[in-house]
Amino acid sequence: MAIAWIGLSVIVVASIAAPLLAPADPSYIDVANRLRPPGPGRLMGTDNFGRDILARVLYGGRTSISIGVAVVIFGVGGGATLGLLAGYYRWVDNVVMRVVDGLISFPALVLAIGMVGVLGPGAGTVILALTIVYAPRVVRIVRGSVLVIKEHPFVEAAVSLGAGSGYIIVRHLLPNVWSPIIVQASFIFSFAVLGEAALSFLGVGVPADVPSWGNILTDARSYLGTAWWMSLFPGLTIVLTVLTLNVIGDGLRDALDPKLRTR
Amino acid sequence: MVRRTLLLLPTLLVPLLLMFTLLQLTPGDPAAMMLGDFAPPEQLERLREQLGLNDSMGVQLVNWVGDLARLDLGTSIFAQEPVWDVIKSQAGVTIHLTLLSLAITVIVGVGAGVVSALYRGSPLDQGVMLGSMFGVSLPQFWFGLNLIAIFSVGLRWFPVGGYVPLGDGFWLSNRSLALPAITLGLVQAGFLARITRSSILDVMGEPYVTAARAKGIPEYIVVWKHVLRPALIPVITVIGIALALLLSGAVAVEVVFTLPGLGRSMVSAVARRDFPLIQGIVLVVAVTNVLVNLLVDLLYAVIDPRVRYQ
Repeated sequence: MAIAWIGLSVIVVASIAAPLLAPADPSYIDVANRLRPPGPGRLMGTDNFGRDILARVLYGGRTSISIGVAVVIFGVGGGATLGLLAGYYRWVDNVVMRVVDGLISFPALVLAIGMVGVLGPGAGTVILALTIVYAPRVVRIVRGSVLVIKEHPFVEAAVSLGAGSGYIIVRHLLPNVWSPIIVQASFIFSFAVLGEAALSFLGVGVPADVPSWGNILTDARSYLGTAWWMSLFPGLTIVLTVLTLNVIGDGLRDALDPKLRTR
Repeated sequence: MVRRTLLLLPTLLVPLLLMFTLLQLTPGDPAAMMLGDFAPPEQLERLREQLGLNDSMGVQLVNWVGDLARLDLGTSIFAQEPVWDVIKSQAGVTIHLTLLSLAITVIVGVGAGVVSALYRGSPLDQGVMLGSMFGVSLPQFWFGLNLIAIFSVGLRWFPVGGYVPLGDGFWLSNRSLALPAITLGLVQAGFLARITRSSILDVMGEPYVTAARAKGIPEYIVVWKHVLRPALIPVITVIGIALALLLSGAVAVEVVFTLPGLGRSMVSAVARRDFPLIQGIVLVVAVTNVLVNLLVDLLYAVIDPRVRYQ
């Protein structure tokens, strides 16, 4: 868990500090040095345009991690709000949960590609599509917790003291569902990083001229036999990021909700 | 059982309505897109009337649902063929790939989960758990790229891509899907292994298992008859979830291995802005997914007599 936190911090900080750390401009085309293997001065080698892969991975991290953070903010924020309302108000519950059930059982990537296809590619649509695909998980979990907490005597006490619905939701219910929300946030982050990578790799994500972890790998596809470094390093970066997020998510779940401890 | 089936209708409606709304929101006129930029206005108007684009949104929705019921999904703008025909010609590859991957997922996932639960805490168990953690963290398309680099480009054991139809020989056909199915199946197996393991460990803690052991029943009979049977029943429900994950993964894997299936077709439809085809594929996947989940639920009730749908 501690190692995972350190790993994730390194990746995030390195991406934020990309302009300081990158050995070259990620879009600088240097045909004379195309497809150079890793070596001194270019730790991850160069791609088919002679662009420095380390620089592209660092800058790509900015895109991929920003999209991940945005999906967490909108997906978890929106999902938690709907979950709280659905758990508290019966009529909201009926409407919201039908929609959630419809979305949750659907193949995520197929729906996301369908949405991007109709709305047109771009970072904004990727965020929107991944939010719609993953927010239902948060809604379902938060609603489940609210349904249990709502029955506790302290809620009844608050009602009998004349507390309004808004006050009860924000001051009494929300603080009690923080832990599942935080746990879900780490998983949604990891899904979003994987989702962005897949969409961009397929050419339906962020535009090809903006480096992201997904579309760096699109270029690598044609050079699998000749330039292994083009796919290895960006791929490993994604795996490390998602792995650390999953380890953190599991750790948080065990720490915050001992009943669910995995054996 | 009837009630259970009816409950699925709203589940099905959500993806349908979402696609309909999104298409309504899209800027751009489908008629203009089909005829090109320089079409004369009267021709545009005629096509708009023909496609029903001048009707109100409510009328369009009703017509659209009516068309769907008759399996009329419109015409692919690029292929100039009915969407349903395009889908029919490509669904075989996707179904073949998904079933082969599902077989790998179930065999490897359940196998690893059982072994890891029975030898809990051993290096074997830790290895399986570590492997499954990696499995859920791998981008599938990247895993596929690596398998191609190693087994197709390096060792030349498998073709780099492409699909040999089942008609051209069972063995050749499955060989052409071996790497894609391993890519898809192994990644999902990690997920199934974790669920199998925790389900078995739950059952092992039941008092009746202790009782069976206390009676002096040999351990392999305890495991086989008293633990595995009840523990593996819940695992069946997960197959429905696994299928959704496999269908999702199939999109990327079909592109990586250039397989002529629905996933690849959908991605190229996006590039060509072929809306009827995109929509058609989303709908067909939605219906398939709902039906398989229904089947799994009903199967569950048949296998486990404790479950009854009222």
